[in-house]
Amino acid sequence: MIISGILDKIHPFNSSALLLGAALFSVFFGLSRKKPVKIFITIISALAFAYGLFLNIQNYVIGRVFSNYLFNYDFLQMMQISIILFISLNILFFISVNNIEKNNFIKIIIIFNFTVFGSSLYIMSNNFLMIFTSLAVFITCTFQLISLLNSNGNIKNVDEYSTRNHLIRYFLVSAFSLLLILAGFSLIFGSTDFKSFSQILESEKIDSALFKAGVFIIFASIYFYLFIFPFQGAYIKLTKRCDISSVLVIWFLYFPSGLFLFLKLKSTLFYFIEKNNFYLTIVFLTIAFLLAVGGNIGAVKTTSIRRILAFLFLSSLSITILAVAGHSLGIIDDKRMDWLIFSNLAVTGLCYLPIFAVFSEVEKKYGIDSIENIKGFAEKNKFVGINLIFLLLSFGGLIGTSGYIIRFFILKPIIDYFRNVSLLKTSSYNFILMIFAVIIAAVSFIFFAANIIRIIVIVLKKGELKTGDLRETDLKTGKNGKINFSKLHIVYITFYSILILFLGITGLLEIINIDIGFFNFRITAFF
Amino acid sequence: MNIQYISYISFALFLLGLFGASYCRSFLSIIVSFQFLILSSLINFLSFALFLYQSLAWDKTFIIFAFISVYILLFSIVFYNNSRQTHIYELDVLRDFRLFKPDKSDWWGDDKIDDN
Repeated sequence: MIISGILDKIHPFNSSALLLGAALFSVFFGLSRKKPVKIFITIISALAFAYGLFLNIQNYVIGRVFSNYLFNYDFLQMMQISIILFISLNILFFISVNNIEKNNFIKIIIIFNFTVFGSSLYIMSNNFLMIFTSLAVFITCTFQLISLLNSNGNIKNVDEYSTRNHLIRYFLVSAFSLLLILAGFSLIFGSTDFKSFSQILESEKIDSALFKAGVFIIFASIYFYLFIFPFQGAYIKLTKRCDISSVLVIWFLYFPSGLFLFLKLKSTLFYFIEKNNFYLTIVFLTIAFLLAVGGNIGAVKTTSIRRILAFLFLSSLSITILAVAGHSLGIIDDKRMDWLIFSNLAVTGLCYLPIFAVFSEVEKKYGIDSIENIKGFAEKNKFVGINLIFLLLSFGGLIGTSGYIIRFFILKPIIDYFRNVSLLKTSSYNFILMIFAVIIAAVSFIFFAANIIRIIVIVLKKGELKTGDLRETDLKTGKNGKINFSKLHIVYITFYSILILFLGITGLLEIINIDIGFFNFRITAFF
Repeated sequence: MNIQYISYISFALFLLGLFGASYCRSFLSIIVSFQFLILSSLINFLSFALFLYQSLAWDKTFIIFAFISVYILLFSIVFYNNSRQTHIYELDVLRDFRLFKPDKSDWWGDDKIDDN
């Protein structure tokens, strides 16, 4: 009775308030170095994220959507906050496992809480003022967080020195893109005097050159913010050298905020798509091609696991851009595009988190980041090896896994188009663009799958040991190449494997129209 | 002075900032280029408010909040850079922070011997 009474009174801001509360509460323990206090603060933060996630979904279920001058909370925002909170819970796990011995652990957790709080405010922001301010605060918090995660007191060697240089360079690019957003907002303000993207569509000045210049600068800033090719240097170099947990912060807190800014701009984008869909489609297809080819070639070329994952992460963004190109071509509607973007992010997260959990443990054991470390991994670590292979296959888009569902729903509208092309009255330009879309999708998916197979082959390989090989040292010391994963890690990896398998099989059954009557909803209903 | 000339000046500053940020290699030069970008946006906001939307208070509010948040970010980066000085001129001042380097090492993220 009391609980239902409380749940009836909740407000969309409650989940953000909870995160802020957890951050402020942790401040009182900021200087403590005692392990029980560290564990206590971690539990408080985890509870805040979990309860925030529950409140966020509950808010939407009971219909507490709202929109005012500064903020907007609807289905899109609910989904974005849910993804961020779920991933934050996972990142908290990684940060705790890898950094609990550090003296500044509680400071890291405090800044992490503020980062997630900043992200939730940014997602809900509606007005240019709130969008810009919360994004700037979010980037600042992310910078503080990553610099704290990479801080080990005074610089002791060249590696630490270069990591800090790469960190500065990375955030200089972020600051640069933020300043471009500021310049874009100033032009939009000058051309329309409106204060939010939703108001812009009502303006007659939407076709003015000044407005178009402002929108172009903002899209360019998103391009820089996401480190899309050929501007990926700072990102790739940082992910190779920084602390293990910071890589996840970059992938799953920093990058999604760029995608969310893109989604905030989508109504304006759709307006221009309706007017100039031919040229915009070419632009989107080119970006998708750059991401697919650049990311995959980069992953093939390197022997560093972190770089492979960093390149593949960029490559996975090509699916997002393909969804936008599909919308521009008129074969994917607005809602399906949103869902493809969310699903791609969610599936990337679901696969990357456990894969990274395995690889980070391997890296910790050998002390270096090399693909040689995982040679023959499956033979020595059977249970984790099988899980790892399954997770990689899922990420690669194997039929019956969650990665396949996204690829299916990208390809399905294209196949439908070619089936009905004789009935549709489409221009020859559109037909040519559609062929390019097919080629890019095929290159993207096949190349991606080839990269994944390359990793799996190495995991299964029984390579001969060379003198000086780290695994040879292992054999001499009697460790036999086996890595002792903690029970927590094994539970974590198994949980995700089961979740991905479950989602994949359910999705596949829904695609082939078999109703098992297990649920009263369909996970593919939104497609 | 009319809005047209002010816009030209603002655009020139924007281009200067853009060029500096993408071409300069030293930390200080990049930060100075960022100031040109900020200045250009500030001129845009104030000139549009002065000539077109005089009754609005929104632009002033935006300028205050946006600029505070941007400078907090820039201050954090500058402070972090300053806190890790080695007192070796070549390392502290002559480091290459170019945001976008058109070379092979930067494209693939490979490590170079002098890459520190």
